[in-house]
Amino acid sequence: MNLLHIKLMKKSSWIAALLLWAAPSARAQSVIAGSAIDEPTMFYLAFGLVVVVAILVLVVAIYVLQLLKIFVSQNQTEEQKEEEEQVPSMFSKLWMSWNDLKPMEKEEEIMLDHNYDGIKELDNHLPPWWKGLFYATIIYAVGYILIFHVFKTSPLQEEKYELEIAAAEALKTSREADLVIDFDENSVTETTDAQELADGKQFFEAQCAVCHKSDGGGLAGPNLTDPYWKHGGSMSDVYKVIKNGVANTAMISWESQLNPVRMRNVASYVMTLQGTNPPGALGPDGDLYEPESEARENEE
Amino acid sequence: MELEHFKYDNKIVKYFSIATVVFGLVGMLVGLIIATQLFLPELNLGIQYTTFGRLRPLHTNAIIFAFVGNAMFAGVYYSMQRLLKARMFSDLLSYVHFWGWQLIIVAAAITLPLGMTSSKEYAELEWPIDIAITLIWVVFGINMIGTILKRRERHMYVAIWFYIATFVTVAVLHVVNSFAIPVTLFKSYSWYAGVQDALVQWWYGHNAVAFFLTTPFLGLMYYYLPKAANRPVYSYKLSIIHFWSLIFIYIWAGPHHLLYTSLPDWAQSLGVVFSIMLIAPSWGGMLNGLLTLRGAWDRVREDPVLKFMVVAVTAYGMSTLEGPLLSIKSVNAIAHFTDWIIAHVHVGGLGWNGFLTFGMLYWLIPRMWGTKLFSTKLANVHFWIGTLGIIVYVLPMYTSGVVQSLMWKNFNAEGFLEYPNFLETVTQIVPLYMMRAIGGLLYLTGAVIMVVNLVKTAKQGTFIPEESAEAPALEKKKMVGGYWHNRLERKPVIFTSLVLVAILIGGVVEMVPTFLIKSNVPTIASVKPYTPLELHGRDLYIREGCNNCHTQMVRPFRSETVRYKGEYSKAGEFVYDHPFLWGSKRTGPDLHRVGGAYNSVWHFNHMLDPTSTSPGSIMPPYPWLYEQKINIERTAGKIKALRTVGVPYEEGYEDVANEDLKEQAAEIVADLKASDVDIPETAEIVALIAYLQRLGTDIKAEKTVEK
Repeated sequence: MNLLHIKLMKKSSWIAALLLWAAPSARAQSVIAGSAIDEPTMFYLAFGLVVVVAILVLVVAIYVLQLLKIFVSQNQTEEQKEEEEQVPSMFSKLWMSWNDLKPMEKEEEIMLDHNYDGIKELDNHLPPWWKGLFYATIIYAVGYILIFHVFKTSPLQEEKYELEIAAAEALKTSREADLVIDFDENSVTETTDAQELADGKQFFEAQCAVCHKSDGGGLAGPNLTDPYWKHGGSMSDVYKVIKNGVANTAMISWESQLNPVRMRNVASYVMTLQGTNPPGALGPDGDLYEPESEARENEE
Repeated sequence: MELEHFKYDNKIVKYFSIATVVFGLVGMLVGLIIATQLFLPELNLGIQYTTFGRLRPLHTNAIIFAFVGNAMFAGVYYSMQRLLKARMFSDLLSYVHFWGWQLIIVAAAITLPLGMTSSKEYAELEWPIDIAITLIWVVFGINMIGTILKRRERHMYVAIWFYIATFVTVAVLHVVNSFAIPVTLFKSYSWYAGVQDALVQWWYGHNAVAFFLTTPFLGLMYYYLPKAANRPVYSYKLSIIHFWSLIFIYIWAGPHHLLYTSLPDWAQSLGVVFSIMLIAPSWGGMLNGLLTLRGAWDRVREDPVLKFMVVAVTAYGMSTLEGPLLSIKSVNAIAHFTDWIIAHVHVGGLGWNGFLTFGMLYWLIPRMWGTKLFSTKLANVHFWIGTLGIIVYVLPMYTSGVVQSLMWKNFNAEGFLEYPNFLETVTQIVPLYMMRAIGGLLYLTGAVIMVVNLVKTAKQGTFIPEESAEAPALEKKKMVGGYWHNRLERKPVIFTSLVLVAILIGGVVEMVPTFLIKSNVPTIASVKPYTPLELHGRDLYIREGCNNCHTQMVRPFRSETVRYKGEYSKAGEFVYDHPFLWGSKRTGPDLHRVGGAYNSVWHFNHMLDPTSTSPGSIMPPYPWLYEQKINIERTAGKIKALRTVGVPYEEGYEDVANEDLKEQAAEIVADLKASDVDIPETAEIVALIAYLQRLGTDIKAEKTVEK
């Protein structure tokens, strides 16, 4: 029974190692899905759990089988055991034939007369499955070259890239077909819809905060809470900066990543930061912007 | 037949063994330090010589050339004498080889932290050291071939074949890849440019793995495994087939390091198919090793030497299956530039090279000191701690590789990148970097335990510097007949020539067309040579080892052209890049389209303190770039050297280059001044900013011209 205990101990150390690994990968899964657990994540988690449980059940089943074997063999008489040993199992038969192994007893027949510092060599055949593997990879290689370079039936990387871009464009067009956009960068006005503002806030905190700080007080990018602006402070000005970016600065164009409605959400949220006066904000940068003066100019 | 009496030289084996152990510990320790720097960037202590970019090449070079290299030589010098029944050809050459090699290692350990690097992976050492390597390698070769020629064993055993292949191929690889034009004593530019440089480099890089880490160790396996197991080698036929197919096919597979880059499609495809065809030849070695243990498996359970070897051979089999799978383009699209590759090479490095070396040392040291291993128990502890170390190292790296890659590629339902900020994908895997360091620490701990055990073993025995042996001399008469390969085995010169032919074919077929046929690198009219200031900046980029963490290769994927806001990289953009700086790992974002993406003051602030512009960044600060000055007296030499290798600077430009340099520096300084930042024009940071702002912008100029 001592043997059994050792085996059990080895098993439990493996399980500990497994758990050790499972912890960060579980974390990684939740990373992919974002912080909130949404429906598909739940599905994957549940599915993953089922798989893990299934594997554990399998492991336990195999283990129990092993135990049974040990118990059975302990109850067998010597004769019974010998009898069993003489009949090779299905697996060992397959193993012998797939590898084209010579039985150990007949090893002397294929011993070569080589002797290098006491090292001898056998003249075993190449394992048939290994030969098959080699041939298969050669066939794969020939097929690969034929498909990509002779018949050219499959796209190479440049063409594949074009296809990928085209597919994305098509998807974008179909998506924006449903979108009602009744404004352009000059006529855009602030949204007051709470949900849209919340969307703008969420995006701001995820992306813009890197440079502008999550309260808009400014870090590498300028302070957005005071009335001083480098490129104008009207809704339309802010929208344009988001849409087109500012050349030669870290302020990139977001047009390729946000649709017009979302750009309006973000710009509207930025407008709500005016006058919040957060602690630690950067000093004024750019020109003072007064909404009235522009209105007056327009009237003139 | 008269018996000749002679002695085997054990002292040289002892020397190389000690060097193996010492440099092994150093190399692993440096690895642990840089692994820790990835989640604790302050660990460079603010010193420029200890940043990740400079220590990473030190780690790879120390492990490959100092640890594995010395282990290889120790193993070869011991086994070759016995397999050929002859003392080494010349004791003098043996010791010139030993001390020369150690001096090279010391030179590497000094120059790499100083930033003297060619930037080409595993070939970072500058040209004087490259020449020294060539000379010492030739010394090793003469010593080896000399021993073969004066052998007392008619036929060469399979281990010797692998040693020959190692010597021949590494010589060819090293010389071809190291071709460079010197600028100063410790600065040179690669002879090749852009795509061609990349092809040569990865032909070298891939086959350094093949012929420095694989073939010599297969040779060692063929000696030490049957010795330790006391079993005949499983199949002589398998040895023959897998040896020739391995060396012939391996050499073709280099381009799989450049899939989805600007390398021509045909070369990429050759890299893919030859990698796939490499599975069986590689596995031939594993099978011959494992099947040799038939009938000895009961001893594997008890003998730590065999345990180490079994895991080594298994790790070899796993990584040589993984390698070809990683060469399939759709798998490569996920794994390339990520930690998956780091995991892959460490299965090979820690498992195959490390464990085989450990197994060999546990077998060798007791024999050379005429005693038994001090403690089998300690060796077993080392085995388990080392195995656990490998697992704790690679599993987090596989996970982080896949997770980060998927984050890079993930588009949300609206068709935009889910994680447009690269940094987000880094901060998420930092916990896995911590786990990896724990794995490395475990592995290192195991190695320390081994050192204690080996030292104790040596202390309880007495070293046998010379081991007596006897054998009859080879008869002069010609031998005829025999199996065809058997005949080859008694003709070392013809054998060596055939090896040379086998390893040259693949390289020639891939390289010659890439160099000669113009359509492989379509020219782009708007691509111009770097300005003098940009050249200085580029050399700083190389000195700091930026290419160890940043790629300059936007691959043709939508997720990359959207993320990096520009076209994917074109072959014609790199024609003046001596050397190419595509990189192989994206710890930070790609930089090929960084030119113009940020203003100069952003770069200024970012390099001074990366977390000020990118909170959470794991890049270290580079304050010395603001204090140190570029040496503008070097400008002329740089221009002349580059003109020699084909960059079209006008004749005489070197005399006026510094005027252009000052003008461009003044512009950048003025730009910085506008943002209230004061910096002298010759400060290194100014040159670096000039280079970064130039990156990938030539192709944009063409667009403007077209309009």
